[in-house]
Amino acid sequence: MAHQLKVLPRTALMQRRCRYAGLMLLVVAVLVAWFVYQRQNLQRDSFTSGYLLIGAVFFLAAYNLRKRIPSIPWLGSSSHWMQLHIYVALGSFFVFVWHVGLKIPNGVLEGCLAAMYLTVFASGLLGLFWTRTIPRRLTAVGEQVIFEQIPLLRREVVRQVRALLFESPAKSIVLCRFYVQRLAGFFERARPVSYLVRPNGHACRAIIREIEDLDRYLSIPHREAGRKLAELVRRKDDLDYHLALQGRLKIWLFLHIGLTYSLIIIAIVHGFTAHVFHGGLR
Amino acid sequence: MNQLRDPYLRPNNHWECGSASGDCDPCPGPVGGRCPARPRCHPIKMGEKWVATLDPKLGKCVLGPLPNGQCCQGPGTCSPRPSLRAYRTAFVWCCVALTIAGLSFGFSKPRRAGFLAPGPLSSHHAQVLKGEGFDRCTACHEAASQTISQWLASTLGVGHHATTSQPQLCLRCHGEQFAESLALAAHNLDPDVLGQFTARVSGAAIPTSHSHREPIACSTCHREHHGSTFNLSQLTDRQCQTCHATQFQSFESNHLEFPASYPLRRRSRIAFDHAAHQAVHFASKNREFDCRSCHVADALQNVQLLQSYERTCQECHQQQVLENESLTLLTLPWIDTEAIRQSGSAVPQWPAPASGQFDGSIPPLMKVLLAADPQARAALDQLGFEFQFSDVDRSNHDQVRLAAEVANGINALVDELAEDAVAALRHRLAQSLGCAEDAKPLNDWLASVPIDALRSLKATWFAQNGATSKLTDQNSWVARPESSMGVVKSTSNATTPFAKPQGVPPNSSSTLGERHGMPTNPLSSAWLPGENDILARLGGVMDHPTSPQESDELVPNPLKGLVRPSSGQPVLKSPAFDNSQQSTAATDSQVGSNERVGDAAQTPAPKIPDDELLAINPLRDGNLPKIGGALATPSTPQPGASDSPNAPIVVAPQSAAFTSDGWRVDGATMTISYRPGKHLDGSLQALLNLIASIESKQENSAAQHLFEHLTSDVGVGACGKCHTVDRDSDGHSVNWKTQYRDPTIRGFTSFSHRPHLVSFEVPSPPPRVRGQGEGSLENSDSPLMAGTNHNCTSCHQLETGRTTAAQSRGDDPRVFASDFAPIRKATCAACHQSGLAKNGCTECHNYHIGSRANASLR
Repeated sequence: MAHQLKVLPRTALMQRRCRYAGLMLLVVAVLVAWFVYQRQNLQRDSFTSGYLLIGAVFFLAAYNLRKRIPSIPWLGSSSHWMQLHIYVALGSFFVFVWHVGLKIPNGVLEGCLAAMYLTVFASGLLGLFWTRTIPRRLTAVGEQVIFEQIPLLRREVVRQVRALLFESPAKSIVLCRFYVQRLAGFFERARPVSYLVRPNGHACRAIIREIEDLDRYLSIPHREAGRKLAELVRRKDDLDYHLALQGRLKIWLFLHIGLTYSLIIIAIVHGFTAHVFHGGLR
Repeated sequence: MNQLRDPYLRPNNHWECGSASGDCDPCPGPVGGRCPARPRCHPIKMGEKWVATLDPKLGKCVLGPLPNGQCCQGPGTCSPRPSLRAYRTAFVWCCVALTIAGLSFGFSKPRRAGFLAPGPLSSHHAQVLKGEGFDRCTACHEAASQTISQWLASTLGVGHHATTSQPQLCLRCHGEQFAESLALAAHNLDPDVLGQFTARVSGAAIPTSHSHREPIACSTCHREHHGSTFNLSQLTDRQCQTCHATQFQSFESNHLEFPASYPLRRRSRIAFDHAAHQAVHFASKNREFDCRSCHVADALQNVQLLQSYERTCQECHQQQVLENESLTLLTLPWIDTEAIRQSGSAVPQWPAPASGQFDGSIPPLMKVLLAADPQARAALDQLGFEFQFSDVDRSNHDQVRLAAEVANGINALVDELAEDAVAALRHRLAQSLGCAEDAKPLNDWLASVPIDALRSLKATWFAQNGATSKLTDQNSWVARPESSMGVVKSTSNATTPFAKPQGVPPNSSSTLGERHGMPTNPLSSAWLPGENDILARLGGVMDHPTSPQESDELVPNPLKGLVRPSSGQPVLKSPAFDNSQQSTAATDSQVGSNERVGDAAQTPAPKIPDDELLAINPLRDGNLPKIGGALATPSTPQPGASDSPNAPIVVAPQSAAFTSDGWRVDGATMTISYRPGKHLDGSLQALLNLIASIESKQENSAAQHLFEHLTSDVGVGACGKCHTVDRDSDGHSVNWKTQYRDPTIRGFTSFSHRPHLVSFEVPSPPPRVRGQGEGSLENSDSPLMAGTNHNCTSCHQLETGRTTAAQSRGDDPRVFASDFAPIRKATCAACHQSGLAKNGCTECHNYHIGSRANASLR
């Protein structure tokens, strides 16, 4: 039985976001007050904020682990983890700003670490934005397509086109020539990178317009084949649109997850060296 | 079958179907990178059941033939390709590998310093550690000299551990600034001292937030690696007060009022009465009393320094320095050898000119020298502190015996000086004062002593012993040789109240020594005119003895009759007065003179004013008092005048003069004395430093007497008139310098005149009332409000009616009353408040207190 996703109304969603954001800001305020108290009392608030930061990073990385082990119910739902992931990440940014002191770190190691954190944080923000906007755009397409099935579906469309144009008993020479000259690249080649970056329906609409322009050269039965060809063109464009947008949701995780592990490693080394070189009374 | 052909492809799969044609059947995807499809077989029907004929080497067909007898496998196999997830995993591992490689590269030895440094050093440290590569880290971090494995072992608590803490590394360079034992203590102070100071200043209990006994690492306040322009000592007011139990919101609001004597922590080292100089001395000379004529800024204009003595005081006070009393090292008192003989004591060898009736006293420095002789010291102790030989009652055998002991001690001293003057002085001073024989002040003083003169004393002064014995054997007045009498003229109508000198035959100009066959004392020739001068001054005219019977009379001592009452007003005392009870309080120079002119004054002497009495010193100048109506007239000996027995005594005003090195060996008075030739005379400084440095001075009456004499206003050099004497744990010390800039003494507060002495007119801001009570800024007379902040008196205002005369007397520099009004907090807070001038803690307060401040704060 398929799991039914619970979709919250927009107002409830906003209320939840405000509630969580307020809670996050409250926690951040408490933390900042703690840091200020420590700094004013000549205590090492950099160690406190550092430990909090690395703890936050570990927690955020644990979300990926949580997704790998979905069978433990007491861990909480992935949705809750996702919410915590978002707000802990946002809160960690304030701790990070306090930790580095509103300036660009001068040291090589610390600079790399800060750049790594900011990259991961920025990729997270980008991913958050895409995960909030892309599904809505994909839903507008009207068909739910699994990303991994897109190549197969595209091959299916190509097969249908070929069957329509070349294997039909009443095949149209005009349409066959049009396919060879104009549609073969559209159906059989990958879309350019510009389309993956900014997917649009310009090419689709232009091809359909050209197919419609071929009507005056087609007999009535062949016009029906032209309309089916236009539908397959639209279908292919929808698949490409899915591929481009779902590909974004996959690709940003490359950066986000890949650099997370580097961030953890450098953070551990940074904390270790900070303790070794801390000095103090030792 | 349907489940396997479910078109849903799991996104976690690392492999996906690699069929390019897409004509294979949907499958769950490759397993381990291999296509799950198997070769097709041709099932055979065995009875009612279809059986696969797959080669067993290719595995077992799990699904079996389809119900229609066809093979369950698809049309063919494919080459699976990695999924996006697989690529992502590979990307993650690449990132991890690159990170580890980068870290390894960064942690390599040549690059570790630059890689690990959290930021640039401050400019001071960066300049010191410039160009030392990775070794620069080892200057502050011991971990920098260790390997990564040692870091791990140290972190895990196994193996090698750091043996040198970071503060210890800091002290390798900053060790001179702090005592190692107190470097990490709060304020670099002993916790007990800090506790006492805190309780004394604020009345508050010991800090509670942090135990004041816990060490504080340098890095607690000094945070490095924040760039070259970062201020390492920058602290907020809140941070400054972290450990303080009593915390202030701001300087102008609730900061403690300044101490009552602020800004003075102690009296000034030079006793200077500003009020008297302004109102009296400068006014009398129509001179402007300008602060800057004496106080000038240093090169950085931070501190106001006092001009030199030569530029400030010399013009008016040089005469006091050079012409005050001299310091007598040695003098021979007059002793009555006959009385000593009658008392049964050993008669000391004594020069004839100093033999007669007991007279004279022991100067303070000579007492110190005699104190090294046990017998002399015992005798002096019994005779009393104010003992003078004139007090000895010759009929009192005990007193005579003690006087003889002292005389024998002097004799022994002279003998030792003749043998080895330096060793004798060194040994006696060291023994008497309880100091080391190689003490620097002692060496310094000995370097200025006239050794040759001291060695020759016995040969010169004691050369007339034969005459002494002879005369004393005759029980007659020990007369001076003729040379000592100079050209004494006799007069038949003498009106002097003094007795005639004995042993001088009338109309005789030959010396007594010559008459008794004694060798002529070369020193006595210098003494004689002085003696005659004395006689002339005191007696005006001196009768020659007219008959041998008169030779029994003694020459009257003009100073003998002078007594100083308790009020200090000197009077001329009648011989009938009991001089054993109220003896002459002769000054040192008077003691040195020992002018014995007899005490045969027959009439009560008139009272002599104090200044006139002081002017009596015949060795000093030509002032001659009138005593008994006789006119004391310095005159030049007139050749041939001695031929007339009735002519008035005319005495040549000759006397031994001070040499260029300050010493005078006066054979006339048998005195060796010293007079400083300049301000801050080295010999006098050395002697004062020596006496001041000994700890047992309080128990040593001779040393104490000498110290008080030297530091008195009228003492030699008048040092004590201006230079105060402080007492500390090491004894006394004379403040020769006006200001001491000891870098090890750094108080809790500091002040720079520079920003406060800018010469511009600042409009008076409206008073801002922030505090309450005493701290209120109302009616403040701040420099800004006065509009003349370049004026010293804006802050330093003389307290009317107060003088510093009394503040220099004691030896505790902290007990004083300044002639300046204290500076209050409101004066400073008029400007130093929020929005105007800086008012942070570190503007005035220092955290690091000098090591020697521990003692000063106790």
